[in-house]
Amino acid sequence: MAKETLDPELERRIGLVEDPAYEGEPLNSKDYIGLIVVGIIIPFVLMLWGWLL
Amino acid sequence: MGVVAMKNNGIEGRVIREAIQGIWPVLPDERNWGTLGLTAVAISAGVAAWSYIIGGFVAYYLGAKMGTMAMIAGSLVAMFFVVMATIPSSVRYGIDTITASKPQFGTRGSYFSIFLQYASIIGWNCLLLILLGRATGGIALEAGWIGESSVGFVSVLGSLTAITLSWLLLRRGAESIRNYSYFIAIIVTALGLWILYKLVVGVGLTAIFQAKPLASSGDRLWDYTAGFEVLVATVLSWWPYMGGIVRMVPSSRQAIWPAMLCMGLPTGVISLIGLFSALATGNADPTAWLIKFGGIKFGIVALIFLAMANIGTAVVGAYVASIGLKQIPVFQKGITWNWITFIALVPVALIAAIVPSFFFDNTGTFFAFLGVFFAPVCGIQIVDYFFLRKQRLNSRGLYETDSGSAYYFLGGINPVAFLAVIAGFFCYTSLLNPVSYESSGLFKYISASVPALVASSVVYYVITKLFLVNSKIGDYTANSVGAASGSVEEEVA
Repeated sequence: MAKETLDPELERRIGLVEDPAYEGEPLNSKDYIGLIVVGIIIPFVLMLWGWLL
Repeated sequence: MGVVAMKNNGIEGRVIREAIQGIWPVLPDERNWGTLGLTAVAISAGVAAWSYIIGGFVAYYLGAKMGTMAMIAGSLVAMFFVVMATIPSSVRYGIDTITASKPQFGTRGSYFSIFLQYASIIGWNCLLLILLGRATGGIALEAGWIGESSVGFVSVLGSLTAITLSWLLLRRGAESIRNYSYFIAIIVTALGLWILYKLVVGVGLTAIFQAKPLASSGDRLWDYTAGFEVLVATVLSWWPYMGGIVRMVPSSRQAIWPAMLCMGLPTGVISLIGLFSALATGNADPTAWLIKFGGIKFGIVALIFLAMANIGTAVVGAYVASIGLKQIPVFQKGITWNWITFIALVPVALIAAIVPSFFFDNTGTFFAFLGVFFAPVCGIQIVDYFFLRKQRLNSRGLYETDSGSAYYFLGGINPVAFLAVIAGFFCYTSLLNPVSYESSGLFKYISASVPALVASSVVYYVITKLFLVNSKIGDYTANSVGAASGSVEEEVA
């Protein structure tokens, strides 16, 4: 691995963001299902509806 | 704890500014936008005057009913892919979109992302400021202030004045821009509602919904798919903006719905005003509506509103482009912020001065080119982050640039990502020619941006699996053995 020197403040920040305790709540399966419903299924239904109008 | 110490030693302001206005990771306790804050920012970003132009363009192909469905569906589909490509990594690591593209394109290859960001923002700013110039010329003519022969000159002068004002505003920095963006949303919405009111009162809803498309191809399915495609391609161009916005939110769960519903959907909804106006007037050019609906008196008021909205949006775009340019080494030392913002606006001024009509009359080509490039990039990011890196990035590697760094690949570039972009490019252009809008027989069934996104994802996944995952190139081995998370756990312990 490289030994490149980074700004000390940047180094400190990198250390902190890699800490799982610093991470916010990640997306769970419900979020992904919700996204798929709103981003794929509803648009598909809208397109179908628009075609039949 | 580190942040607390930093706050106490008096350098907090400089360091936090460096992170928020630059490319350093924004730490969770510096992220002061909750769901509500992001909702406000997302609405103010999503509601912009370019939506009138998008809607006006869709009116070439679709009437009000089918156009409404295609535009809302297209904006939701595109924002789904932008959300999946950007939010999980940008929020988790507090990074902007360009930095988040280094694991796919490489430390130097990410300049491609900067170029895409720069080019797309130049394009959008051209549309906004040329539109403003044309509105100025049109209203000056209608008011009898100038003759027919001077309209072109006054229009260019209007655009160049707006560009100069944008550059002067950029000198005031990020804080004023963020505050200004709320007013832009209010102004654009007010202008849109006023146009809608005039439209309904003057023309009537029945007439709007019975109006025929301005230039239908004659193939109902082709027109429907083209309307959908225009919205997908244009909303995909939120990609360069997204990371910089959502990294101010503490968690992905707080970010996804404001982004989906308040950034993607408003583009579709405000575009409907453009669609209805174009159908009602038979003219896709928004500058024509201002005079037609309001006459001279209200046309001038609308022009002032349009000027505030378009200059404000152009300033936000130029600011984002300038931050992107700052990531290129040549712009990091010895060049002032004023010069960088100047470079971000000069191409807009040149296009507005030399070929304004050519650019404005070929907006469809610009829209299609957004899909040509942003669809493959989104596909590559999604497959890389979720399926190849298992949602783990090497944070240090995002900032190191030397030959031993995690995302150096070959000479700083990941050739696999560029092969995948080329695959997406050919997939798109074989389905729909972005210049002539000639298409293959398949286009009307599957559109173009979504297949291009899928093609790039598949190419990227297969070649990376075959050649990179088991090599030491690109830091894929670290993800397969969980090394990244392992090192973190040691630090925590």
